[in-house]
Amino acid sequence: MSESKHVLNVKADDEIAEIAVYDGNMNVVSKGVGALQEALPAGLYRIKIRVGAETDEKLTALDRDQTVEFNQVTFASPIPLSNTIKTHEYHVAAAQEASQNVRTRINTGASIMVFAREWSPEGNRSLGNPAQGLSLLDSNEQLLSEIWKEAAVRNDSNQDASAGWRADVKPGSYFLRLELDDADKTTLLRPFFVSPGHQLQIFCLIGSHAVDEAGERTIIRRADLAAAAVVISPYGSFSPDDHLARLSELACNSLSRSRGLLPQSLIDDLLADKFDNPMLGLFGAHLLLRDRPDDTELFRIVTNNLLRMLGPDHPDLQTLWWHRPDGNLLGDGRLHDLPMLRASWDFAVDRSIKTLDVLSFGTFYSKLTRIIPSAPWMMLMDNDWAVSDDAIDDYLKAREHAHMSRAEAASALKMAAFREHYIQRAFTAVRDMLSPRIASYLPTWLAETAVVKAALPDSAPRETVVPADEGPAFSLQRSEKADLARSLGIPADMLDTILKRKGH
Amino acid sequence: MPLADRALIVGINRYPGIENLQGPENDANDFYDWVTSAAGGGVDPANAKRLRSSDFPPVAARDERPAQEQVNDFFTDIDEAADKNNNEGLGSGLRAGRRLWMFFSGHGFAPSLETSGVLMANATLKRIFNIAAARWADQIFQGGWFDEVVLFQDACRSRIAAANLTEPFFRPRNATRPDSKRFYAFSSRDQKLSKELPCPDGKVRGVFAATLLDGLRGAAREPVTKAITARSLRTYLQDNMKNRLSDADRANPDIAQDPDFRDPHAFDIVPATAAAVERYRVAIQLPAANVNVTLQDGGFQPIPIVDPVPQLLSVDLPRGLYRIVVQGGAERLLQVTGPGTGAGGAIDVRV
Repeated sequence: MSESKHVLNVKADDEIAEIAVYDGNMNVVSKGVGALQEALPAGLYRIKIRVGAETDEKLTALDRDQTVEFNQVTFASPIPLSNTIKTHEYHVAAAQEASQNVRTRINTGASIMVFAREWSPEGNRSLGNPAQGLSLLDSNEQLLSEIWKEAAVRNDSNQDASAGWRADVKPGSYFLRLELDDADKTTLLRPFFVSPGHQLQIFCLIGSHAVDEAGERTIIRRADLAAAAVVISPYGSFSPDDHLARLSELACNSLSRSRGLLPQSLIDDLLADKFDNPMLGLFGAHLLLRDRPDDTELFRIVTNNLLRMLGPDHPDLQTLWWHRPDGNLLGDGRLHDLPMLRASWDFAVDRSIKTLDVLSFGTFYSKLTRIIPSAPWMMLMDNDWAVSDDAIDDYLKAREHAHMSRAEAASALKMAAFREHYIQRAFTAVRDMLSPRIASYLPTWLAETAVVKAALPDSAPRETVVPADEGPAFSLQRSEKADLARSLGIPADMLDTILKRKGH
Repeated sequence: MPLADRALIVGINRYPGIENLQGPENDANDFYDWVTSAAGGGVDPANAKRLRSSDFPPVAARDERPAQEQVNDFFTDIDEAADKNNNEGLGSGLRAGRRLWMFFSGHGFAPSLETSGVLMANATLKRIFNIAAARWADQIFQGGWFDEVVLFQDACRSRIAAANLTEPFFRPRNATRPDSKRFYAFSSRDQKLSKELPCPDGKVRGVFAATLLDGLRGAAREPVTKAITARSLRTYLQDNMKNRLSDADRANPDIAQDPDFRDPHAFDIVPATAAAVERYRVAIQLPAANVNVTLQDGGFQPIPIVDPVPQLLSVDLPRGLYRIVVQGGAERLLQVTGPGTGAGGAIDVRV
């Protein structure tokens, strides 16, 4: 490339768009999030942006300063937002209507809206009730409403069906329950918390659930509860053009990934307390902790803003509060309700490894083994068996098998070393008994082997390493238990109880 | 003495408890052939463990193999090899080898966007036996068993609620080596479905695996250094996987068109060779014959073309970016990423 440089400006309408710039040989030469400005050698460049799982790209000739702009990238979302892949106008209208029309009055002070819908490439999956199997439970798992019976179902022919439902409720903690109605009575639970004056909007796309019906693989179409998106609306209505709801969806995707994607514009929003979508605030606070853990002042400001919007009882905010540098706690510092986000729950599990008295769930505590490894949202499966139990069994079985195999290998190594040592000593003893002249006729390979082995400790130092478990039994290390607790999402003391029951 | 490279190759066609596949064994065989060839991965076949459904007799679903135990045995062997090497003074510390290759093809699932696992042959809808390949790769990388860890996984990332990934049972016994490298590539992202399709030779293969093998056999080589680097392989896969899909699959947002990667380091996956870099036919439709036209590479350097210029100009170009400038102002930027979809695999361009 020529020596001259020009400035490349890239601007993406989506603030969380990942930007990559490739040179003429397809090597990445610059990266950014949301926007990018870079002086690059004159030449041809490809600019690629990624938003969620979707991408867009443009080519440019940098023979002068250039600005390349990208419109919003359409991505898939359960929320029928403008400029997303799985959105029909009639779903937008139905969702708007559902957010405003009360179908069930349970209490006052807040509201919950559930909007479930089919989506197909052909746009004609009109059969059935998309809300089938959905119910609202209180925090004690008492049934409050059978949503599937009370929702407004639209299944016009040649359209993807939808079901909308709104209930007025008192602020607090709830479960959305999904029953698959299969032979195993599979039931999924997702916890929610609605703050005073807010409307919690839950959007589900219908998905295929593969179940085992008497040994036959059967597909049941029900709401994909694990992927349902959440909007917290202070205004009690749904807007398809809500820029912050779109940003919140992208922040949610970002939170599910390990790489840092926190653009300055989002930080500015968080600092200015100007977001009308508190869900975006929760995602932003988590992303701050992950990507800018040293920026404690910024985190303090953001959590103060969230406290004003969500109130002190919000479980997700309570877990975030543990990370404030001032050491202050919300309430008694314990978690009384399940958070909505898995990242928040991971904080609780991590805290349970380091300290006691983190959770106060009453009788619900025993159900925590039913947490399933969903992300970014918290999910439980209320079946006869716990998924975590299987995972622990598989782990212990593999660990034991490896331990036995290692013990045998270590024993074989020791035996080989002993044999070598014995031969070497015998060789030395025989050689010492012989005259030097006769000894010189001894096979050289034997002498070399002895010399090499004798020299080994100096020429190739063996590293002192942590020994593997020895003996027929193995014990789980503390760090191993901590990793298991984090991986399974089970509080440390509960995992200890399970392991003891299994003989560890 | 340099430490050996090792490879684990798993291809599972038979899932009696779920649904059979057709491509994974072909994928595994292709990868095995490549990774054990001198011109490919160069792994001694004695150090390459291949696990396929056809290596085991068909049995009831819960006893079907390969299962976790066969894969776990490979990892245990690695740990034992590290002890043996340490005992014999090879390398420093617990090192099992220089590079570990891991290749998995079969059904898969993703509990979250970031995590995924490969289902073992004995998995059923009630009991999701799995190998968390990326977590294993992480554990081996962080524990310093190898200098380099390369993982390829061709499996769906469907959401299955009732399943947890099975944690690797290795405990790190070494510190992570500061100069260690890794490259993980997955056939899909964000819980999308991976496709398998019939190839021109009649065999069914995974779209990701087939693209990967093309790349490893040379198509992903950097035009300048002629090595297949982590970056060049990543770009090759991103650019070419979707080209194998049908229009209908490309229009379906639930089908994976784009592979996923996990923070790859910069290193050579296959060293530079003397072989010529692959070139692809580009068919450029010009406004007329005999026009004054210039073809430039990514650094604006002119590329020789035939004279006189025909209206349909054919040139063979390596992967990269190009500009066609026609006298009078018309210009067109184009990228060559691999074979095109035109006649004979040509990339059709109109100026």
